[in-house]
Order: sequence, then structure tokens, then C-alpha cells
Amino acid sequence: MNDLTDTGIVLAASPHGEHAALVTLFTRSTGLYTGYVPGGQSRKIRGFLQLGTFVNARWRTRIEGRMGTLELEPLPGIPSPLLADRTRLAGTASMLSLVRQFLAERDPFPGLHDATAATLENLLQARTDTMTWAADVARWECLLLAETGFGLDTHRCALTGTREELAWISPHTGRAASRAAGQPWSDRLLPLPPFLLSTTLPSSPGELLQGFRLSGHFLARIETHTASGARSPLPSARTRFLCRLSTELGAV
Amino acid sequence: MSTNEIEHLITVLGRLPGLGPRSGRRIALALLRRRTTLLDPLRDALTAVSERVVECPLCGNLDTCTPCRLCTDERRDAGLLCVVRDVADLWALERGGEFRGRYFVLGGLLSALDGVRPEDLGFERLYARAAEETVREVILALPATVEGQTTAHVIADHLEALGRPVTSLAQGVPVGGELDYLDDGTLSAALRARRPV
Repeated sequence: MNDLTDTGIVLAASPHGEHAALVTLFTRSTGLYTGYVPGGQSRKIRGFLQLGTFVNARWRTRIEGRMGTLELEPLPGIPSPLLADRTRLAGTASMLSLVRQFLAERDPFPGLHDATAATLENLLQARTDTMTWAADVARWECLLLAETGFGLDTHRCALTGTREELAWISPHTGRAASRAAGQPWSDRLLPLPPFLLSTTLPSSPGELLQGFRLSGHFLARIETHTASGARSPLPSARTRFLCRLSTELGAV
Repeated sequence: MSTNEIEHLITVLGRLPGLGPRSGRRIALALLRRRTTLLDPLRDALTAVSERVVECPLCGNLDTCTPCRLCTDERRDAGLLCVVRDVADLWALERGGEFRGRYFVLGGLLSALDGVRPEDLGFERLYARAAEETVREVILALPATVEGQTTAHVIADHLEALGRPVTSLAQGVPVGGELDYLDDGTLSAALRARRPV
């Protein structure tokens, strides 16, 4: 008998049969996990089987490799998704659809899980202002790239070795270049907004969106495939989120 | 031992929502024992539904005439357009008897994770319907779930750009509900939507 207890974030829930549901979680110790939830369509359970809900999960199976059964209970004290806030809801959907698309099942990413939980908690607090949580989401996308093996190399300038004034990223290698050394190739390099290298806020909505353009460029280069074998584009939820964000910040 | 025809009937009945092979066997036996009072009327009803019920091209409701009775009823307010996920939700609103406007059935919800996009749900037909001059208000009666509200926000973004007033159903304490039994999400939604007494 395999028995695991962990905290997780609900990524998807689909009805299975008349009463049960198949639920995919992003857990700390085992990464993405799908399990069978008996009574998952009941009024008691389906209320919290929503994208972005934090749950305590107990997973059990008699045979290794089987889907297993999940017992779930919502974690108290963590805000439920802000259904009425268009941008925050779109941000939640964007982050979690990226997790679903880029992480393999049963492959643990504890660092990314903790960062996802912290970013979502910040995003779901109504008092956090948009620039703050959106900057966190942009940094989280860079972390997703790093955790999946496609991280940006922003430790030093690829041309001079300096660690100061890094302002560009090569769209091919993902390596940084300093402002002065990269200037002659500025039309071919991607701008590296300073807020991605620190915990400071972006100086303008334009700088924030530059961060998303940078992470989006490299996320789009990672090849993921649909069940039919076709190459998956970036999730439409991310496009919708950036559209909403631009509208809210008046950057269109 | 059952014959092939009876086995087939049991299999088909067992596929219905809420039923399985055991219930399928029970229903098949009951039908065969009461041919005149159950089996024949059921056969006639199924044949009639199969031959006559169609989807309304205007709202997506199911009816025997096209456009459906709700779309052609002159007593209903054509200025109010209520958007619902599926026909079951339309029937739920009709059971309440409070709403006297027209409907539009989406046929599903946007889902980032399952790859359901606006073009899969016929949003263009909805936008064309909402753009008609007679429509004064669009009411989004979609589920209070992440997917339901994401769908509502996408529709609202588009319709607001067209200058159409868009409203949605309120969220909060249900009639007869006790606060102690409500979940945290419903309570916070109710607090946010508080109003003067």
C-alpha cells in the first residue's frame, strides 16, 4: 500500500462517471498528480475543486503506478480565487495552465511549487496592487524556465564577463549582455528589464510587459506536444491574461 | 439467458446518467413486464422526441418548433438576453419563473486547461445577437466557478466594447442559508456584495 500526504494546488477537475471526479494537483513532493476522488461531484467537494484552490491531499494506491485515490480537504485561511476580479482570475489561469503544459507528471519541483504557492497567495490577496503581483508572476515565469532547464543566464555579461548593468538577453542563447557591450546589437537583442533581476517594482507598465515578452519568447521555444502529437502553442490563458493586464494598466 | 435484443436494451439503458448495468436490468424487466402501460408509451415518446425535437437556431434551446417557443413568445421581453451554459441551466431559470426575457445557450465554458476556446463555443453568434437593436441588457447567468467566471469576463470585455450593459447574477447567502454552514468563498463574496437594508 502506497500512502502519501501532501499539500497541493488544484489544476484541473473533470467528472468521472456519475459521482466521482478525476483531479490533477500540483503537489510539493510529487509534482503533478492525477487521482480519483470518490464523490468528487458532490456539493460538498465540487465547491472547492476549482482551479487554484489549495488543498491537503492524501493519496493512496495498492499498486505502484496506478492512478490511486485522493482524499482532499481545502486548506483553511487561504483566499479562494477572486472570481470577480478579471485580471487576477486571468493571472491565476495563466500560471496554472503553464504549470500543466510544461511540467511532466510525477516529477517533483518543490522549489517551483513553493514559488507558485507564494505567488498565488500574493495574487489572491485583494489588497496587493496589480504592479506588485504581476511583477511576481513575471519573475515566476523566469523561474519556471529555470526549473525546466531553459533558464536565462543573468549572472554575468556573455561578452565582457561584468556583473554590472545587465540590460540585454540574447534571443538565441538566453545569456545576458551589459548595456554598453550589447548596444551595437540592440536591434537583435531582447531588453532585460531590471525588475527581473531583483525584488524591486517595475518602473512602468511598459517595463512590466517587457518582462512578460522576454519570458514568453523563451517559453514559446520549449517544445511541448498535445496528445495527438501536434506542437502546443503557449496557453491561450496567458494571452488573455496579458491582454487584461495591458488594459488594466493602460498600456495599450 | 437473455436474448441479444434484451442484452442490447440493458446495455443502452445502463449508459443513461445515474444508471448502470444493474439498474439497466431492472428497468428492462419492468418495461417488458408492463408492455402496454410502460414500454409502448416510452417507445412512442422516444420516437416523437427523436423525430421532432430540434435545437433552436436563435438561442440553442431544445423544442419541437423552430425558432423555439421562448424566442417567439411576444409576451417575453426581447430587451433582456440571458446567457446560460447549457439547456439544463435554461430549464432551471424557467422553473423559477422570475425571468421573462430571452435566452442564449453557450453550450459550454471556456477552459484554459482543456483547450476550449471562444471559437469553439460560438461566441460570434452571441455577439451578433447581443448587437441587435432590441437588446438593452445582457445577463450572464454562468456558474460561479473559475471557468464560469472566466467565460463571463471574456464575454463582458467584448460586449462592453460594443456599449452593451452587461450584468451577472449575484453571489452570496442563499435563501434559507445559515452563515455557519457557508464556505469561506461564498461568505467573502456575500460580504463584498453587501447592500443597505
